[in-house]
Amino acid sequence: MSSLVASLVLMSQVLAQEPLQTQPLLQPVGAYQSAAWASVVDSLAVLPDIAGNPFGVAVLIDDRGYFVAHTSSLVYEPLTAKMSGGVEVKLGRIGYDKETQLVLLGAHNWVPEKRQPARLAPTVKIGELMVATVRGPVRGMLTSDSRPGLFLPSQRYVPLAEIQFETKDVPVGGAIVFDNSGGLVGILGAVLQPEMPLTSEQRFENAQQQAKNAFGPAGLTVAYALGPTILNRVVEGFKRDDHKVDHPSVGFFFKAGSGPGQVVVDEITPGSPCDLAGVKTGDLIMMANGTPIANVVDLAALLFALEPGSELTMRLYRKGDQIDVKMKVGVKTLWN
Amino acid sequence: MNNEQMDALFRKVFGDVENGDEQLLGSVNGGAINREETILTNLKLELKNLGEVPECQLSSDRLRDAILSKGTMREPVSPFANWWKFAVPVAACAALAVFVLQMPRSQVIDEPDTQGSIATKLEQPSATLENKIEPNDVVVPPVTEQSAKVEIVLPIDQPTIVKKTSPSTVKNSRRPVTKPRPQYASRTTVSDQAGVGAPSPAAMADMVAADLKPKSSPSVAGIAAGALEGFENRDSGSTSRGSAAKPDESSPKVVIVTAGTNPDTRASNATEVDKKNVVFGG
Repeated sequence: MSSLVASLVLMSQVLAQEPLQTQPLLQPVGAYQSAAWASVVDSLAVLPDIAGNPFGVAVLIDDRGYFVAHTSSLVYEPLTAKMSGGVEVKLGRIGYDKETQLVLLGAHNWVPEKRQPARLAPTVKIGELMVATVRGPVRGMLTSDSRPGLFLPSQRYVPLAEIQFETKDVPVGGAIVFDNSGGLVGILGAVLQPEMPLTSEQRFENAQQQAKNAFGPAGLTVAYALGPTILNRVVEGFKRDDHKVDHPSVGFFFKAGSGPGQVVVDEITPGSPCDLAGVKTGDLIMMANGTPIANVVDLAALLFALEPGSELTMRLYRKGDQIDVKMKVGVKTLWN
Repeated sequence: MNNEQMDALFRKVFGDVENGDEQLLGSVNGGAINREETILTNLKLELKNLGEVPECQLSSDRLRDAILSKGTMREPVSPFANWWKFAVPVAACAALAVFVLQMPRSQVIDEPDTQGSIATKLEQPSATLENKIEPNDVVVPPVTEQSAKVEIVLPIDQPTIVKKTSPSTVKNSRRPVTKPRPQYASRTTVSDQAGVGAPSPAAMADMVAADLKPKSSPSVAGIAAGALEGFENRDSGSTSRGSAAKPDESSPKVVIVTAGTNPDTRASNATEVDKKNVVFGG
């Protein structure tokens, strides 16, 4: 009897997986057909899991055979990815940006000028987007292009693009986001988790149900993608010979103070530009580069927009005195 | 009085009168018996006023008798047994709470009073002043994050005075900088300790305004008034947002993207956290 039940369970699992395996790779989900998809599909590569099933998506960013993918799209490496037309390409990791969790994959024996790399869009507009998932494109709606985001464990501020779309069965992690003209505008990295109910029984039941259906409020998936600003920075770094991405940093941590509008220095990294300039823990930051600082997000956005090598001036408030400090923006990897 | 008569008087005073006691006491002189009776009555009262017997003087017999005389313990009374006594106050409080919650939220007050001051009440958090900045490098006081009502009074007709609060010790309970930063979600800030001894919002506004005063043509008070006016109109939709590079400040939340991958979504988990509780790295 038990063997019969076990065989039935196995059979049900096989039947449940069958639609995913028989689904053609990178075919439009639903009625989504556009010239934009046709223009980008050749630059996409489907990354498999250990069993060979489609798991993630990578996008070609350089004709030297450089692909970019989110680290959540990778199960193992090196791997053999599939591109349109059934072309297989062997990919291996040659770069990694810890701040954004993006991976640079290099193709072995890549033949240049066969496929067109994705075009990076400089900006993104609020409205409809095309999200290339492992199952194909789905429609998404960009609701915000600059949600303040914080990546852990680096605690670095990154402006995120908030995208909402309905997906019941399609995993969106690591999906590539294009605008309707085929421009690469982001890579999905995170999905908003819904607030769980209070009682433990409801928590268990609803968690199972939501895992099967979708995430986000009212069944609508709310996902966050690295926007074009940070994506351009990462891609430019990946294209360098050392495949390093230089994120600007002055080496300190800050948070909201007790008073309204106050921004207080929380910690100084030893040897960083802030440390060398004399910034102390507990200082209040009043201005940065001549701009009054109204809250923590303002300062984070200002620091994010700096270029390594540029100059940063800050006006501090310390024990009744105003202090001006000047420092040169560096790269975090130099002192951390 | 002989001993028998004294015993009879004892029994009379302590309520144990027996047959024949009246005859014994009747033969005694009235003055003497009254005096003795008064003494015994006072003795009885004093005995009643005696406190509990010290524990060291308790004998098992007396303890047993005391327990037996007090009887068994009373049954505990349920705290809800007399619920009806609290029904009326609870109902009154509930009605008051409903009334308060249904009251319309207080509107922004912007009426210069006779003393030439502007009183502005800030209600919404994460409001920004940047959209209200006028040309000529108008200064905006950093008075934006406010979860509770704050009343800021800025004098108009009086010259601006840069206020500097007295230096006070910054109570610092931070970990040593050499200690590695923990690898977990953003730490909740101890806002009570942060910025101790910091200037008030008005003082900071004055300081920033005074710093840029040579570049700004309007008076500082006018600038501050304009900035505060921007607070009032921040929800009116009349303000225009800047370029796309500006952070979205419509929500006080910051999206925290954790490391690792959720197997269901194949993406990292994102949660929204109030920006006051986030430590940024820069």
